[in-house]
Amino acid sequence: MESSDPIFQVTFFMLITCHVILGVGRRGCNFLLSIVGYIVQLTIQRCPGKLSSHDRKLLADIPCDSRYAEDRFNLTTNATIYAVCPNPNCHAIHKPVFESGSPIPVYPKACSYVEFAGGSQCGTALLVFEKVEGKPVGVPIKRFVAFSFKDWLGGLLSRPGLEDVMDKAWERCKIGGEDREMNDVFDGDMLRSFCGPDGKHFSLGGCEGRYTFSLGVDFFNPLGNKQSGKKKSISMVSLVCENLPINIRYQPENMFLYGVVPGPNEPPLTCLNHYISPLVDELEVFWNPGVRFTRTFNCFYGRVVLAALVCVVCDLLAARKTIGFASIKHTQMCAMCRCTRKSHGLGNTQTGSWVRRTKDEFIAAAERHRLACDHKSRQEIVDETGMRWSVLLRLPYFDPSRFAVVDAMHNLFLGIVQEHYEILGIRLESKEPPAAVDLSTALPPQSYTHLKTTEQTKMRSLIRTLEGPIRASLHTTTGWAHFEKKLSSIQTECLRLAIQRLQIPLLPASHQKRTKTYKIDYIKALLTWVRYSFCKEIPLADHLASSDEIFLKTLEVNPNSNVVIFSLRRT
Amino acid sequence: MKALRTDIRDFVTPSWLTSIPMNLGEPSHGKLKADQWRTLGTVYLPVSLVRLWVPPHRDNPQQAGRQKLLSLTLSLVSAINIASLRTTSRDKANLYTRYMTEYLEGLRNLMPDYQFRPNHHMALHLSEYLLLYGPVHGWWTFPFERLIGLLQDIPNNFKNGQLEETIATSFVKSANLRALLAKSECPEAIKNCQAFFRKLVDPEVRNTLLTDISVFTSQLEPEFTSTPTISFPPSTIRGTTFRVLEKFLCDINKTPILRMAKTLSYYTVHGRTFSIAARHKGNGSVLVRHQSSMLPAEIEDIVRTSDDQIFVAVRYFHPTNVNDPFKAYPALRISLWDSNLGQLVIVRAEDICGHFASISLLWEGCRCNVVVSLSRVD
Repeated sequence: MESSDPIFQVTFFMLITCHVILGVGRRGCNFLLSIVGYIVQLTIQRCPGKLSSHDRKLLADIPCDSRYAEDRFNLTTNATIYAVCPNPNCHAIHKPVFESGSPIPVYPKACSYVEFAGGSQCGTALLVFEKVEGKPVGVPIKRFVAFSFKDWLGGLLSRPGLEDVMDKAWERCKIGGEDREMNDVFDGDMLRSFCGPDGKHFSLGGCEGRYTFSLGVDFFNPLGNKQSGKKKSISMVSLVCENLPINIRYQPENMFLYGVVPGPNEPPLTCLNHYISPLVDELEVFWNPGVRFTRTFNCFYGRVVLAALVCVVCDLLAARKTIGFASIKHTQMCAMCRCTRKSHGLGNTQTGSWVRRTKDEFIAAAERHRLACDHKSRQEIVDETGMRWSVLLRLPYFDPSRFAVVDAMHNLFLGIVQEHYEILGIRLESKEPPAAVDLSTALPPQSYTHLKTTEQTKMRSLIRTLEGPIRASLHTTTGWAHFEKKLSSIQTECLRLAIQRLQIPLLPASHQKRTKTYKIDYIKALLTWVRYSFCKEIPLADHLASSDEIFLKTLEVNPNSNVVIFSLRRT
Repeated sequence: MKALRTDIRDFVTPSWLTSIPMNLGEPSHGKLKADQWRTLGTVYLPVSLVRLWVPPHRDNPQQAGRQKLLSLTLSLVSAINIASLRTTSRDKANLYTRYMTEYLEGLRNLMPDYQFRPNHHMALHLSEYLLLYGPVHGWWTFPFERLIGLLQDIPNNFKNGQLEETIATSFVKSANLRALLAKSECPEAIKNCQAFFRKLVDPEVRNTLLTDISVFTSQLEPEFTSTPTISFPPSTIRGTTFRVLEKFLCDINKTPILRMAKTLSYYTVHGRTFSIAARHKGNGSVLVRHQSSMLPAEIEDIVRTSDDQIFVAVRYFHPTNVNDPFKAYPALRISLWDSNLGQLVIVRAEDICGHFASISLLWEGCRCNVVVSLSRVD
């Protein structure tokens, strides 16, 4: 990079910025590159006289593919691609092995994870085989890309100035007494009493670098936050260095993105452990004995660095998966104290009577959970203690009762303020009110229990549609077409059952020669029934106009059941 | 609801405060963000409720209940304000617990059937964490949510299993690109582009969180003031401003300045823009440090003298004689002021500590201004 001409350096920088930050695609980048190349050519040729050999070389060297620029910047970081077990209850991850001299990663063929001691292996196939150069190569079905914390921290420490401010952060710990004013994490009691592996305060490491980190785990929808639209949930796991001053701590280049846990659904309760476990492996080494970087910005001859995870910042739902707490709906509702729904209740305000949980209690419960031999006994332990095992507990200093913070943002702003608006009777988030029953169909759930589960679901949706306020829209052509389409997704079996139960007569088939009743006939009958309920007379319906010999008239409207009985007479 | 909407429209706010949709309550604005809930709860709600419910309607049977609900709301907002201050201490944590307990107990008395949420229980644990980890900004999820916002913006191919990889690698690429500029081995030519790059990646501050963070910068780094880079031709200072300024400089034994100096229409310190009220009323509404207290004022003129000092001509709000319904809740940082402005006074730019949001209303027959302090320092 340094060797190339400054014009190229800046051009490539522009291209990379457009590509990486603005999201311009490769075609767009190629276009930009060729235009800039032309501008350079025009600029150079404007000067009178013959071109120097240097300029001629410059013009000849303009690359035509923007990927060249990307290669020069070398922005990609080495990542390990793990094969994830596609079994939705397993999610175990498997590290690739490389045969000597071969760049092709080799994964195990089947998942060898054993969940319970003495149990059987998961055994789900991990790979699909694709042909590369005529040979079948196993490619993981589901992959997880994890970045190395060590590489990232090394990169951070090689930047000028950062080491100084990170080391200086500990000085704040020494000032102020009991009722000091707190400005940042280092003023809090937690870091002031945090001891290193040698039993002394963590900051007293001599010339070693002692840094603290907070872990953030959160689930999000990569397809945007629209109410409608597809729902997917993937999660990001990220580390933030608390030693950095707050104004640069949360800049994207200073946050370590460990990985994005693949979707489309959140891993079940304890399965997030698999994904975090390589990170915990690294953190274990960073705690004891520490990692020696061969060179940092300040220390030319290398420096030993110890890193500790001092808090886990996530909302209650992610905390449940990361640290292994019971659900907030569970009777062991609180991870910090021993209050249960029964003994204290959620509205209890006698903070003095709450008993704080301790680290030992957590660890004992988690250990029992880990060693339990089947799902049932694990669930019993959760019911009793409100704790699950989490891979983070492998870190000897990790104290779930203190490190898992209650997130103030979710708790206060999204939780309590929002709830308070509801209490005040101001509804801001528009929830769709449950559709008022417009027309009772008199189809109790027990009348369709003999159907298959999928059919029962469809049956419920059919009843919801028929009972909803759809009569007005059925009088328009578009409305009719919409509901006709909607009902066509429902199995014929359900439609037939509804027609039988409601005693709706079928309309005569639009085509004389049809002897069989088709799905569309059921749909038409049902919709006509809704459309003309409460009507005395049924006019000649336009959608029925094709069968012109039909004349419809209501004979009788039963006022109790809203059931319209059609009588059909052919003219 | 309707009153809340008109208040949102009429409030004069600085430009960095997260804006709330005008059509609040309609589905079209989608889900509200946490930051919007925060602004809604701590700025708009208390003022609107007090305006609607405090003047006694004797004939209204709901009156007693409303009064109780109002005082609950004000306790809650006080608790939230204390918890989200930029500094914290043992006393503040205790005060937070007191207000929060008051709120929850009041709620239980008022509505015995109300089903409490887990959040209510958790809120009482917050004070422990305030002591363990210091002020909330060190350990809340706002920054992580912002990271998620960045990740969601990354283009992907919508395919399960592939998009996660794309997101992860693209993010790491962009982080590496940002870090490259700070590295020592970065080529000179690219370092020169740094200013353009910063402008691209750090767009204008328009939400409460980023402003919070940049205010921290002001505490950590030496003060710097950035003014518009285009240099205006020196212009004549307006007559009244000039006279007051001359007197001010005489008092502190300085050489009188030339009539010709730069008058600015705005200046920016750490992401917060202060402008003359004629240009942007919200950015011109400032709190001025005046003998250990903060007084609301409106900026009339900003003058930069030749030795690069900034003097601001402001008019203070007059104190009002009417009963201030917010006085019982100092943590709300809301107060009533007379709507008439006072004499033109000169203050130094360093004495201006923050913005306030304000709305004018008729209170006990007087036209008053409600001032909601937005500085989270004290």
